[in-house]
Amino acid sequence: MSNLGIEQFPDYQVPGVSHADFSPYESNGGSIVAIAGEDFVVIAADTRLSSGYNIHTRKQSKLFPLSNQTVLASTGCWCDTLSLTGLMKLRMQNYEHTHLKTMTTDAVAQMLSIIMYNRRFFPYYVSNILAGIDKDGKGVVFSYDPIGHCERATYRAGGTAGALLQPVLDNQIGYKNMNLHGEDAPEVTKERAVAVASDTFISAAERDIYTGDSVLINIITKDGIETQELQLRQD
Amino acid sequence: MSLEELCGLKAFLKTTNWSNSMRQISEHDFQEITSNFNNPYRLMAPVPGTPDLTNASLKIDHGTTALGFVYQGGIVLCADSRSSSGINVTTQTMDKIVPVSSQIVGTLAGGSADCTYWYRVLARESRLHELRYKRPMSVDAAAKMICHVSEMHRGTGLNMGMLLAGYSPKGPSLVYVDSDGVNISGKRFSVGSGASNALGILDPMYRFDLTDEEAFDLALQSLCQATLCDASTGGMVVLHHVGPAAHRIVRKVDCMELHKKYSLDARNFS
Repeated sequence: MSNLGIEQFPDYQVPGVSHADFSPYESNGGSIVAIAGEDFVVIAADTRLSSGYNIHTRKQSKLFPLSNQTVLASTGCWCDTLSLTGLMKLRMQNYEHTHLKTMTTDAVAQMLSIIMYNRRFFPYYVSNILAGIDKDGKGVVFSYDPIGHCERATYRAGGTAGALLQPVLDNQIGYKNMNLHGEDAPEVTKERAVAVASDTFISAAERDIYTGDSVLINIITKDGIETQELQLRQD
Repeated sequence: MSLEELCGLKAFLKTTNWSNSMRQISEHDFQEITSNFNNPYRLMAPVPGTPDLTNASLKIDHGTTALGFVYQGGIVLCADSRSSSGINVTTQTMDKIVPVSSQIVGTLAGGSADCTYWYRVLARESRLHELRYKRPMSVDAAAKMICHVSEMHRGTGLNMGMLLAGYSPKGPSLVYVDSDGVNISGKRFSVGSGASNALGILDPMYRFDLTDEEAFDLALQSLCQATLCDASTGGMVVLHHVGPAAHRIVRKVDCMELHKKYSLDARNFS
């Protein structure tokens, strides 16, 4: 049974044994938004890192470029973010040296899901969004829950203001419940995606105490990653 | 130069320059923290004691209503597409009916990550089974594997409810398995938070000798009832038919359209 991993499980509720409780998690805040178009994808994250009512720093990037076609944005417990993204980079380097090619966005997406599920019983407390160009040259967004459920989407918001931002995207990008059929819904252009992403952050900075300072926007196309920055309210 | 090219060294030299600031992780640690890449059953052990999760408000995605029944023309599987974490709807477009192999189709309810991960492992196992024994894995064998996974992780908060459907030479089979280790083979099931609402329609109207159209209509109507009465069921309703030769998607329709249709039907009837 050793290959089933049973020997690594501790016994539960052994009489006479008490364990000290510990709080391993902390929410360090921050929001992320990603919008995919036909041949590009825009991913943005604010740069505030806080804990409780204190702000640690006003310029911490939450975007992690994994290759020149893939960017991972990660918020939540910052130490988990660091260890997860460090591990992702390591695995990608390993892959590159073994197969002599860079991992595709789809492969990275599946790998991230499996890495996160490995910690099913002590999860990474992170909200991840992965954006990139897929193997057909289309822009894609993958969103994750804390234990690695992965879903492919065209736009997604995450982080502390995720629930605040997602409805805005549903309206402005997804045209949800407007009875637009097929070609009636206008295609998202790069300029519009950047504009909507910026606007959502301006709104989030107004209402979410963990979002503010500035937004870093990465625009990924087949030619690489372009970076923009936008100042937000600092209060 | 030519030797370099022959060995593929040129591509190697072109690989990304990774920053040296990355933490030094030993080979053993690296294998350990990605243990499920080599062996998918080998997840990291839970921490001793109970970690205090109040700071984290850890919310994982949950899937909702799925139903399936066997009738004279095959097996019908029907599921919604809403996935929610806490009070927030994460997505309205999730695929909850997934092909496991060429013979088996499954539905997922409960924790989305749990279901999708173990379905992936099941798909791998069933493919290996085909290669080893030159015949497809049976539905019962697949259910047994999920059942073993449930037993292995008993008490750890694994949360899944699955319906597995498929054909063997003996005929159609439909099995319900869940994370408590329950494994029942039967004629009709409903799983998830809206299950009782769906069964309210499905149970009294079900007959084995339904025609195809009647069966599809019954499944849609039952699921429509669940989308109406259960808050965490909604989005698109997807209907699959599993026949002796193949399985196919029969319909994929927004539940709002079903609401209109069936409320109109009710009015005409009364």
